Amino acid sequence: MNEAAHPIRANPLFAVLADWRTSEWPRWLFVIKVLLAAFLALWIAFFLGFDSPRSAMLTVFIVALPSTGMALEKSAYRLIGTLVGSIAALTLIGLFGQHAPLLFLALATWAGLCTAGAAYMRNARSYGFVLSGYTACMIVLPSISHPLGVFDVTIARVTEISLGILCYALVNDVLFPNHQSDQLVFRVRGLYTAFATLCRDAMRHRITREELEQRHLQISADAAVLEAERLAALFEAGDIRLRSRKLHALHTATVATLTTFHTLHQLMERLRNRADSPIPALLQPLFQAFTDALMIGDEPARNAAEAEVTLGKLNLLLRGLPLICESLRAEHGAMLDTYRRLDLDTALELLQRFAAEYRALVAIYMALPNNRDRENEKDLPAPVYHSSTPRIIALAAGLRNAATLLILGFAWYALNWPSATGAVLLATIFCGLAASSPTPTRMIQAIMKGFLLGGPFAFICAFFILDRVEGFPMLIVGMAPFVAIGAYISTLPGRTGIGTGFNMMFAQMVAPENQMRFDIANFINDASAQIIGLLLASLMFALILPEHRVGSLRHTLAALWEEAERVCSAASVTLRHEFESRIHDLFHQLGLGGKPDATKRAIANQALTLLELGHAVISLRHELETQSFPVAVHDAIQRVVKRMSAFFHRPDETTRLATIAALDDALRACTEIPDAARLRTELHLLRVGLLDDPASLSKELPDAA
Amino acid sequence: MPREIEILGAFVPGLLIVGLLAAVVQVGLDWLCAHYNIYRHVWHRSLFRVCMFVCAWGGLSLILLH
Repeated sequence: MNEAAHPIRANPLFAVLADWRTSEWPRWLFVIKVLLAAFLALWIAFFLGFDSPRSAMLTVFIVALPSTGMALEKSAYRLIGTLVGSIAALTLIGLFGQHAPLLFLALATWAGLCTAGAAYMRNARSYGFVLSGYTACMIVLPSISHPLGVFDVTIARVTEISLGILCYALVNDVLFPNHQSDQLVFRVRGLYTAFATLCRDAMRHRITREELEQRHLQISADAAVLEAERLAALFEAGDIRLRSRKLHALHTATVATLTTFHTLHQLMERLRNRADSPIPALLQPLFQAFTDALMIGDEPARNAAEAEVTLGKLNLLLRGLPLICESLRAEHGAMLDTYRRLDLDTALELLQRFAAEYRALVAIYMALPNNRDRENEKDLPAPVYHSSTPRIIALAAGLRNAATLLILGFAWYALNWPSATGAVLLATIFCGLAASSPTPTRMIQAIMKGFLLGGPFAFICAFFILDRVEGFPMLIVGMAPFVAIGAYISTLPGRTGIGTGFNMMFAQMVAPENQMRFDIANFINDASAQIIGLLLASLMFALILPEHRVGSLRHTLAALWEEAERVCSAASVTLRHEFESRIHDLFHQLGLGGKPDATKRAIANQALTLLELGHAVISLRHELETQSFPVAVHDAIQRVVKRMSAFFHRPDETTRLATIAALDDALRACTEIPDAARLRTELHLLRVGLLDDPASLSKELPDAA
Repeated sequence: MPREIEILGAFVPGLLIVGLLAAVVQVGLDWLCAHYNIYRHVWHRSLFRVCMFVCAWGGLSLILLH
């Protein structure tokens, strides 16, 4: 960590060891945990004489995630999904056990509903939905030929999954636990630092437009990760629950402040691009003062004590800010024409708002490590998740899954291939699992690579090693090296899918049982069924509604405009927060990690502009509701909101010009009103936003060029 | 304890049902411990939680046994 404090010892061996400890040890620890949990589960399953011990082992591989919180979260949803799916399967068999076609139809409907739910939720909960869909398939499909065995299959499945979950939870949490909540501290600090440096660099013009955009997207993505990790950490023991609301408040405050920052920055950029505007030069000393307050010796605050210093400085600045603004207005206001004065007023108002929001953010950041002020906690809003997956996409995912099951089911009837159940099952499972991913084909490909890699190893293990093995200890010796390979691969960055696929294939194919069966024909049939199943799943993604997937540019763009339109009419107390989190959620569906292409960046920019405009509309509506204005002003603002709604509905030249005209009217109407400073700011912001760069405000997909 | 419990005509392993019940009890206990900040006084939180679960599962099984 702090290298200056610990001089690196001269011994090169020590350096190598230290390096190994930080880079490789966590990976090997994970491998050891997976091995321990897998064989513990296998042993208990053997000992209690379960029907298929491999399911317990498979569950361990599936829920094996490095941090306790994530693993427990996945486990919990896996268990719940399995229980719901089992009940659904029993009900379906009970209702339609005698009529296979009807049963198939009902099963396809259920699987489709579950997948639609999974695609709609898009957080950890979506895994529970997928599970309840495919557990039903896993139980019903093999039971079609012998329906009386359905209870045994169900009980076996629930028992084995619970066993796998218990084993991994036990091993993972008790031996060298890796708590999500500990990582949250670093995540929060990283987020705050990134934001503070972004503000500093942008206000001192140290970064290019592309860089700013890139860092903005990165911070927004990090904030989303923080939220996901907070939810996972809730499953851990400890005081994270006491801080959960504060963490959520930090997330909300970061996102909100980021938007205000973006609005302010956009305005200043527009003003700077007009070479004749004197305002940027006027405001520069203020920005300088603000960035000085943010930094402690040119670095952002890293802990609570430093945050307290920053908070003090910001408080001081905020107290002086109204006076400075007044004097700036008095000094220069007379020299400026109407629109320039509006520019100045808007910029000052935004700066004040930004400073106030930033102050609130720092206050939360400072209070985070402190557990004692439980009273404040109750005032914070309860975290609510707003999903914004376009409904049509969730529906398409459900339809695709149902269609997959039906088409393959009939093919299976016609084919009469003994292993076809496996292929049908796997295709259905992966159609559901990949439905909430923006890149389903890539996800399936990763698993496929793992399967292809794991197949030969499973063959070697099953037919050249395990046939000489006597007793459980020898079984461990025979299997452990292969499992270790799979687990190690899954710790490599970007290779998680391959490693998981490897181990899934291995456990499925080797199928350790009390009475081992060595049947090469069966092995090859089953192995090819697994791979064919995956192939079919990706084929179905390519064939059935290929355009309708999460992150589809066209649909995301349309959804963004719909959200903006909703803001003009929806009635909700937390509208601002809802709007913000929905837009950001859509943002992340685009998959902006790494280096997004030009089209995605254009859409992301458009989303930010819509965020700005939407915010202005929300503030206008809020002002109208909370304060009383003369009738003329009230009506003018109402007209603006109506026009904005029309513009969001159909953004073209006519609606844009009509909105600008309405904005001009409203601005004229509230010139003489003393309390309407905020209204004027918002109106001006809307006007500037609409005047500027109309080409980017269109529902057409932007060209990549 | 009967090894299997009959639910709607199907035989379900007793330990499974008790285990699921114990999981529910565990969620409640966990919430209480977090709410009253009991975990602050615990050395190895995870181990403590595992022990709680074992106690819940074992205790419930004992109740069923008699």
